[in-house]
Amino acid sequence: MRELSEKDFERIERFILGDMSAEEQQSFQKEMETDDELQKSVLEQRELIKSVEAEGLKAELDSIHSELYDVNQGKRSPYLFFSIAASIAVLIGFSYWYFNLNSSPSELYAEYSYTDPGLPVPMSATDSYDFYDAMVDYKTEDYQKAINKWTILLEAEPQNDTLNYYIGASHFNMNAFDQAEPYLDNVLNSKESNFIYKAQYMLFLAKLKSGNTEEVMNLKPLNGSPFKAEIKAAQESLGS
Amino acid sequence: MQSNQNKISPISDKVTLRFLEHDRATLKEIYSKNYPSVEAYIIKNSGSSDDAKDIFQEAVTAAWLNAKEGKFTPQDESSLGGYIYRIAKFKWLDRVKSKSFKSTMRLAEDYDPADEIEVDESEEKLDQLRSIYAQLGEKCKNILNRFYYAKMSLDEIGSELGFDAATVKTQKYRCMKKLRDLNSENNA
Repeated sequence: MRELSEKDFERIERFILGDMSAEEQQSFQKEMETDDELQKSVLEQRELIKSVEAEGLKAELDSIHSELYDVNQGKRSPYLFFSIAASIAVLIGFSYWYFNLNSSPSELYAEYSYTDPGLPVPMSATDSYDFYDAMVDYKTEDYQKAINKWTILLEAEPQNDTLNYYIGASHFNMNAFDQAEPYLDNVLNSKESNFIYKAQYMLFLAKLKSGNTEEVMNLKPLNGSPFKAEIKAAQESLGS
Repeated sequence: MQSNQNKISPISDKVTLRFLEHDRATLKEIYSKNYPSVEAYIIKNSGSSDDAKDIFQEAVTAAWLNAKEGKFTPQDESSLGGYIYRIAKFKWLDRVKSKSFKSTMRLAEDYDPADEIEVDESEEKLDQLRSIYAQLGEKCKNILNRFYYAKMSLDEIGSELGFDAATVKTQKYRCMKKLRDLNSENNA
């Protein structure tokens, strides 16, 4: 089978996901009739997507099963984290959208406030049990307990960006901004981290909350930050 | 919400449609309504509740696959439930008849060969693809699962994982390429 360029891939995907206009779809189908390779690629991609979905379904069914029938609540299914993470993520996505519709210059902090849903837990990994054990506390908003557990782990790896970030985020979620700051700064200083954008955004919100207008106005969103729009909008509302 | 069906689906039953989109509340309802009878059947026929869980989940997945491919068109929730039950029963009989069980098992009195629904190729194919998917790294799984299963947008995935949407898009392409490559290796 021939190599699939990113462009072709996106086109096939739009066809499969039903994102094409009727016209585009028709011409795509015509093309498929004469192009065996294209037809094969479409078929293959459809199958691959199905396998991704089937795996997701399996994880979801496991989590539903333990929700319905596992009497032993102490036994935590790894899929539980995953499903909680997914549902919170949807909620957060929705609230972004909602807040963006209703931005008002007042109560900026409340408007832009952000709670990290917690780390997506790998569907198969059972290593680093301690870390995910604390993640459950985090997700159930028992932040102090999570902090206590993660702090012990941090002693072994003081530079670990994930630990720094989630300890910082836990303090942040409890509105303990002063305590959050050094951890989030650590994350920001480890340039490679996956969490720099979120860490920066939390630091920004902390400053907003403490009314440190000058620092708020001077902060420049990192290149590529998904929070760029929020930061700019908050700064503009504050400046006007 | 995107639809994975680009052909017009003849399915009009709302529960089935939500089932195809694997809506969690719907799955939970289907689960709680149909699992107990499957479990009862399997336990009655020398299985354990762990067997029941396995078989039931396989049956739900098979029903999902068949409904998605248009091989089965449930008219309402109870026909979907009945279908899941029949698949589960067939799968259990199939397992019972396999070597490891043969000598010790006693089949239920209500055994009816008509219950033997063909487990067709597409399910086997899917199993194969799932084992290929299992070889992917966690980074890829995190992205692909969110996009194709949870049907999150690139932006949503980006803000959750800390990338911008364009990066997610590129990663998604690369991960699917990886999956394709693994698949061709497997078929070679």
